[in-house]
Amino acid sequence: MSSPAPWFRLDGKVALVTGGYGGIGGVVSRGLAEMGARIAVAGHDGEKAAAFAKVLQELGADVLGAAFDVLSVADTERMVDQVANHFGRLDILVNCVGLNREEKAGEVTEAGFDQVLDVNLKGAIFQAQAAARHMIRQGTGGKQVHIGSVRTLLALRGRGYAAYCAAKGGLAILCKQLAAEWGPHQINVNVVAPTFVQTQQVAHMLADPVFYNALVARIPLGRIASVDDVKNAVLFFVSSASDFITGQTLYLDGGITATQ
Amino acid sequence: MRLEGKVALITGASRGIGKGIAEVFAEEGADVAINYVACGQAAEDVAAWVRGKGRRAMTVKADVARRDDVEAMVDKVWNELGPIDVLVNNAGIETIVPFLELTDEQWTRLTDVNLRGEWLCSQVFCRRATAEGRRGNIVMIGSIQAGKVLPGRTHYAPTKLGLEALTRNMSAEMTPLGIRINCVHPGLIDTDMTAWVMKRPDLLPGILAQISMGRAGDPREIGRVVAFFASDDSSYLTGQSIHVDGGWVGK
Repeated sequence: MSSPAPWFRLDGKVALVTGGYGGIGGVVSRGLAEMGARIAVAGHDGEKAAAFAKVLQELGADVLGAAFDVLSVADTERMVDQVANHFGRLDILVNCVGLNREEKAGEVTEAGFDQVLDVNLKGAIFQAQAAARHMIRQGTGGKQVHIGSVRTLLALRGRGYAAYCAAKGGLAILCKQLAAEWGPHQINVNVVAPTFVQTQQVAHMLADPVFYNALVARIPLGRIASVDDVKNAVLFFVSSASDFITGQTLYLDGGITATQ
Repeated sequence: MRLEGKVALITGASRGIGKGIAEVFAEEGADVAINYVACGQAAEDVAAWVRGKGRRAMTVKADVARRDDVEAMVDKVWNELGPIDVLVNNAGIETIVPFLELTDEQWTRLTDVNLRGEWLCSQVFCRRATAEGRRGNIVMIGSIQAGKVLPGRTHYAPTKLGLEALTRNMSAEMTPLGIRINCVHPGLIDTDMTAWVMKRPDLLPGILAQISMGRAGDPREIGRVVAFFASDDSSYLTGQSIHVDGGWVGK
């Protein structure tokens, strides 16, 4: 990236990236550090979080690795408080935690449905809430970005996506509500909703040439999203360039949702 | 800088949101053509500001609802600043007329500028760009009234919702040819066009109370969003419409 306009800089800001060492989160964390933010990289695997924090530290960033269990509200609060205490503040939350467990609609299990909803939707509200408490107390506003999916808007024919679509669809209106409630505190809450991104999480799907070719044929831009595409959208939403945008879901999809 | 080396044509850029977009584009490194229809001196002032930032600028008079005007405008910019990389379809007019009183002429003039004008400018630009094998980028400026009812806008609101469909459909046809198209829907922005609200202490608090963030936006805030859509940072974004309204529509 060429040198950014001043309104993209994040000097003095503290950002928490959950799922922060994953396929998307890792690139987002690195991008936030490049904009000058201090970063907490959090995820369920403390060793991976610490190892990735070390990688970013070697690039000169001020980074904390933190472990947490997204399925536990208490542990989520503990981790968010730990991050805010460590850095003395919290300005930005980027929630990259996500999980899909495919089950055909006729065979959806209670355990499978609960797991997908708990990780993608319940996890989002309680991360958002814990972060917002610090942002509201500080009184200097904040930025929250949650990673959604085109499954917020589009069903997927022939696959078992009931729980995932319900969770990601719920995430969009959840964030609109959070934006409405926290707008007076100058906290922006938005969703970046990508289609298939080149990550390990969907590598097995993209490896199927029939699926891959059918998918790309439907994308007007003619390619899958890269992690940098997601990073750039997140950097926009955490910067002051987007101060007047809140409650929005931006589909990062090469034009798919617009043509369905 | 995100738009360094780009040439941008911004319609309706002599004041208001268009002026804010022109200023941010200059700060992001773009050379800017400032279209106007009535306010020539104001357009010159914007051009002078852009030049003050070390960028090239020109003004160009055209009625975006007239094909001959638009073709001449695109030719002129192409000749003077070079091939256009970014078109920002910002020109628009707003009147408030109760539905039962709206005339054919009022409907036609407003829809001609706000909807047909954006279609026309886009088509003229896309024909030229694709004929020369060039990539391009279009940002449409809509309004929150694409998704929100305000009184006396039975002619205005359909043009702004229409821009969403225009954005999607042009995106479907033009993206494979290398031209991305997105739409920004501003909310209440502090400009001449909204002075009738912004300067009314009896009206303004009631409207700000509907906006989650409790304030009006600045034209440059729209400019920064448009700059993002016009830049390579959004290279996977096309066919999208986004509300930039501080949290007004949809609650």
